[in-house]
Amino acid sequence: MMKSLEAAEKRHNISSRGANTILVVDDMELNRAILCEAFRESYELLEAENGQQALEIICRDPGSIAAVLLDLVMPVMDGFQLLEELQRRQLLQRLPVFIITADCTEEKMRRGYDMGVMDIISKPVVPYFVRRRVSSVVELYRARERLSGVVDLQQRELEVQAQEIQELNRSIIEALSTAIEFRDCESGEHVQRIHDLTVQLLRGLREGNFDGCAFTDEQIEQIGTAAIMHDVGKIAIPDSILNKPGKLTKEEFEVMKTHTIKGCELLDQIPKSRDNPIYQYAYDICRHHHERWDGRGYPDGLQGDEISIWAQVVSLADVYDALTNERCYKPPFTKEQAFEMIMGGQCGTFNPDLLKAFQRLMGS
Amino acid sequence: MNLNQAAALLEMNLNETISRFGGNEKLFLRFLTRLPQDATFQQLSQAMASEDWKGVENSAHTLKGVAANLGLEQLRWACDAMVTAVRQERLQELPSLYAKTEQAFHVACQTIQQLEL
Repeated sequence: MMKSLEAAEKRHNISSRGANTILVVDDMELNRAILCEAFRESYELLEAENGQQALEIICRDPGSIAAVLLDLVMPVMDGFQLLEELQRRQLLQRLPVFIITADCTEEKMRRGYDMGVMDIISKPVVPYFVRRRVSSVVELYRARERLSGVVDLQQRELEVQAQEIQELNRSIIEALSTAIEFRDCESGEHVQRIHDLTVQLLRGLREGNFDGCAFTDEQIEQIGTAAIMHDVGKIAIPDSILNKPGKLTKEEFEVMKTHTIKGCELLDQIPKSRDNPIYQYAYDICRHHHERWDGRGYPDGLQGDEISIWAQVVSLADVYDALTNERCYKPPFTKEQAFEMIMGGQCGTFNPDLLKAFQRLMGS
Repeated sequence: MNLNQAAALLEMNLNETISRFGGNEKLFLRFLTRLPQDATFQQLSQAMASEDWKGVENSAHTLKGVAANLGLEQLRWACDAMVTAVRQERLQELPSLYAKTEQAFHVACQTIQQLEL
């Protein structure tokens, strides 16, 4: 484990040097000297004559202390009082404290362990043993500290990568949808306008507190991205129909209508698409963005609430965008004209709630 | 008297004691020769005189730790008996236990003062 930890640290450029100071707390200089002697070779040392001094030293720089060796009976502030202070400051979880005492009664040991000390070592100490016991715990704490540092960094990396994947996903969708729009003698801007208008209408519906419209920001963005794909099925429509300048014959229009079904069939072939909320919205939008509130749309003739609100929103956005921009079969209308045509029912019937949100959006 | 003779007289395990100081004999001697000036025994005597039993317990406890570290086994166990007696409230035994502690402390101090280093 340590090897891979070191590799990870190197990759992330983190220092593996942890706390390296042992704080010896005992009122007797002799006792401190013996403990210091035991650790002099491998650690920095600090000494305190009582709990109060120790507390001041620890609070000055808690991160530098690798372990505390603590006597119990001391003047001013005794060992247990210091433990209480450390507990109150939530320092005991990350600071291993060893009680070093000549008084290893069961009651005291129990009290010490209950307060969260790492271990209790009886006086007089055998330097070799005390060194081994303290060092192994210090190593463990260091490894834990280092590990959590690496995990934090990896977590942040993963978040950045997830973000990148989403952005990539979105730009692939945009690129493909734009390519399809180009065949339809459209500029790529249609795609962006449909996205923006869909997002604005959904926000308007949310602000109006309409039924089933309590979307999160994330859902609105997902539907906005899905909206871009509403016409992917047009890739299966022959140029002669797609780009015909005049009115389509009844047969041609029947072919044109299949772009809804073709679009969702296409999306269905994308592996794992069923698990992805964007594709779930996109499937529904592809299939139903030509349905109408009164049931006179296509391909399924759904009516009213049978049509999902996002398919309705994209439907309205698509109609408005088609009216306000030039098409191979028509010049552009002004915003005002387009608004009047939609509100007046010339482009099919829409959900009254949706029209309210649309009206408010156009008014602003 | 050299250190080995003193150790024998005080029933001290010299190797074990010096190894407690990381094998640093000088450091050990520095603390051993300071024992006669150490205030802990005096605190114990004063606490006994004023019948301050908490004070007796604390100073006997501290002296016990010092004695144990210095390898002074007689003194260590005499102090230990006093600590236990206070905790178990056998206060009537304290005078005789104190006498033993005093005896052990004086023997240790005399021996230390005769050391030729």
